[in-house]
Amino acid sequence: MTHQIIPADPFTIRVSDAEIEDLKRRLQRTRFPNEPQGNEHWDYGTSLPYMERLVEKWRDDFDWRKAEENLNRFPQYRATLTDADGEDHEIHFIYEKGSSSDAVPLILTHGWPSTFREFLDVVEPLAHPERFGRSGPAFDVIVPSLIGYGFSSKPRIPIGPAAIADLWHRLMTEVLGYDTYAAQAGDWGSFVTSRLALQHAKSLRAIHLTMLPLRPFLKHESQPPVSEEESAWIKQMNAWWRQEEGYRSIQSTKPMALAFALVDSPAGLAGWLADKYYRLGDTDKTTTMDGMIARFPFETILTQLSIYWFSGTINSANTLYKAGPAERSALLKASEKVTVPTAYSEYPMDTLPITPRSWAERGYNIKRWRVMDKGGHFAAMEEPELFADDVRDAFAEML
Amino acid sequence: MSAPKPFKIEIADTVLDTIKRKVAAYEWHEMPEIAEGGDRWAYGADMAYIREFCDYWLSSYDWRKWEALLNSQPQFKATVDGQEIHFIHVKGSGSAPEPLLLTHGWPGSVLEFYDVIEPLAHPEKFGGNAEDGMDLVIPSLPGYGFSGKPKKPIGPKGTAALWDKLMRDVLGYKTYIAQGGDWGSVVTGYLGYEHGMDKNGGCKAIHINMNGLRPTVAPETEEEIAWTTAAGAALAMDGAYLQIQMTKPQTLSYAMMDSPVGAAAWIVEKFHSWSDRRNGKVPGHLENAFTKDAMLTDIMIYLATHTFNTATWFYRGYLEEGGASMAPGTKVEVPTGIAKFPQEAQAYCIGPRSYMEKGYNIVHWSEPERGGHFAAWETGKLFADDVMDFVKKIRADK
Repeated sequence: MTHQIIPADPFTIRVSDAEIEDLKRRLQRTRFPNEPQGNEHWDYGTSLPYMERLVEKWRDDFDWRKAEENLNRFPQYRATLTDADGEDHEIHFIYEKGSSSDAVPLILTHGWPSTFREFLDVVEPLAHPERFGRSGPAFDVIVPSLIGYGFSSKPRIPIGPAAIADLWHRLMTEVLGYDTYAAQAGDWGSFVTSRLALQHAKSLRAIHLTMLPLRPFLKHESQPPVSEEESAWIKQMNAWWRQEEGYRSIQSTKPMALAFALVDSPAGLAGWLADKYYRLGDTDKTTTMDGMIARFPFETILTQLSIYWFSGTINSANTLYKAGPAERSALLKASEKVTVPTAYSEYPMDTLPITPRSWAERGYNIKRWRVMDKGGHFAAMEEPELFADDVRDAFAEML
Repeated sequence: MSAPKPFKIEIADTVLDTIKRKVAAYEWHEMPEIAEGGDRWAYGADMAYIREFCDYWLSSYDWRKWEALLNSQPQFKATVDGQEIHFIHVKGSGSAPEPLLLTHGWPGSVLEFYDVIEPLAHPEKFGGNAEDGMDLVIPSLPGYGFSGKPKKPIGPKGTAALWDKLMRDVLGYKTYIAQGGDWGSVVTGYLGYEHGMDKNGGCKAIHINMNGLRPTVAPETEEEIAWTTAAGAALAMDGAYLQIQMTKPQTLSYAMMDSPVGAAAWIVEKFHSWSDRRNGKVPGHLENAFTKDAMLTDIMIYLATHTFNTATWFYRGYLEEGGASMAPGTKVEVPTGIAKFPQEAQAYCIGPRSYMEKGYNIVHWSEPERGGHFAAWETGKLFADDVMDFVKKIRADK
């Protein structure tokens, strides 16, 4: 073990009463849009009846203090790391030590439009499997907030996943004192985690992903020709993105065209994000809102939204979409590949087809492959038990 | 179909107060750090400018003054095929004035044309000939400003059909000339394409200042290929608003309908991206193209009528209509005038003449020295002169 050289300060979330009142006041005076005929299945975007109900719940029923207490139930810290450009980044993270002395350090990274809350219900099952009648390995669980998200600091100049990966490595080694560790993630977190495995391969024992963000360098001689299955999959993905990519297009080009409205209107923030939960979660899309509510109870989604609102981070979070591509870290260089043992679990999402394993193997050292039958893009939040068992089993196999 | 009823804009005080209260309560925030001399609009709207803009909004802007200006032209409402349409209708000086239909786009409004109304309707006041004065019809697009909100999205093709009925069945013109930029150019293109006199419609000629309705042909010459490539690259950087408004207008609207500052920033960013800001005290400054008052009045039309949402539906309507491409082997047969303003946003700009010829029967081609996407609004008389030249040509060829 290296010596701990950078301190981490204990941290507790405490939003002021004034901010809570301000939120309710804003919700009270929400001006809603009308809705076109034929939006029962959110084809034109976020449903109006759902939004009216969500805003009413947020204003009248949602108990932030209770949500806050729940978020504070595991030890949290903030550590300051100075990057190569001299900028200080304050990283907020949950740190729950596992039950056994040989617990495996595991860093779990969320994405957009999520927060560290996504993993709240899997912290205990992963740190203390015995409490849930499970016998697999215990983990020292570390759940950071991405830079620019939740209770981490906002960067002065947006930084991308490769830069965040370097900070994560320093968090694990210089702040927490681990030599080696494991990592798990989906969405932007999977991007950071993939970069972590590329940039710090020696320290990564294994990774578990629910999304595969790195793209292979197809023109390199080591790459076999694209198969029929792969080509059909790429075609379907592209068609899906044409319908869905509006949020990504604006956030990756002109996030500051959007930001002024989202920081001013909690309903607007909710409308912008709820669409993604509906679309990407394993929601029953034959209903307008029953499926959405069943999959993401108001308390859960409102906690996520409230974290964005109270921390005022929607702009810095959205801007990751601009910083990411600017870093050019998604496309693997010729013959570059993630060599760290990788487990991939695909959770069903919207109408998307299953990723061909051959495609994944172009860029990753795939050791374990699972196609889950339920749970969507926010798997740790949607199916915590299934998710925790799968992650535990995966690392038990790989380590 | 209904007879036109006179209309005046009268926004209630409570509506104005609510907007002002929200602007005043806006909590300013951070934006990514921009290096000294760097592009402050690189991430979208510059916060320093939006803040200054909102300070002016609260301290100096007077909607009532602008409402009076808007009301200084005769306005009407009529219902066509169940869609309520607001329009300005000005009678020209001539003894047999040519009817001219002017169509705005997004994020514009009828305000775009106010400075060209007098020169086009009453040229004698500007040293021209009274006989050239035209009857002007300037409608608000469905779901925009003072027109009614459709129950579901309607696009440019559907709007062109409404416009032809408005001109012929409601206003009684047998034939007319149409002009437009932005969505207006697509609507105008459809008027020429589907409602031209050759198709038993009333549209006898069109004048456009954006490449809206497009021929289905691949670029051929080097110049055409270079233009297509540049337009594609520009669209990748600037087209996100279109992508979201075309696919999920509702997802965007909760924020924009609730936050006046948010909607203003979304729109001002487009004024900045698409206008000719080159010349002025500070080269490149947005206010070389528009005054704050003008921009605020346009934005206020969206806010006061609560139409931000339904205005963005037009993009979805366009998608549902299948885009705006002419069938292979066909073109607009009515005589067409094209004005290529120099700072028209690259992605939407008029292509090389050789390319435009493939889609339009071009009888008039001009390249004014200044002006951008909002040509009528930005250049006033310069735009009016070009349209006047075109209309004279059409009348002379009769």
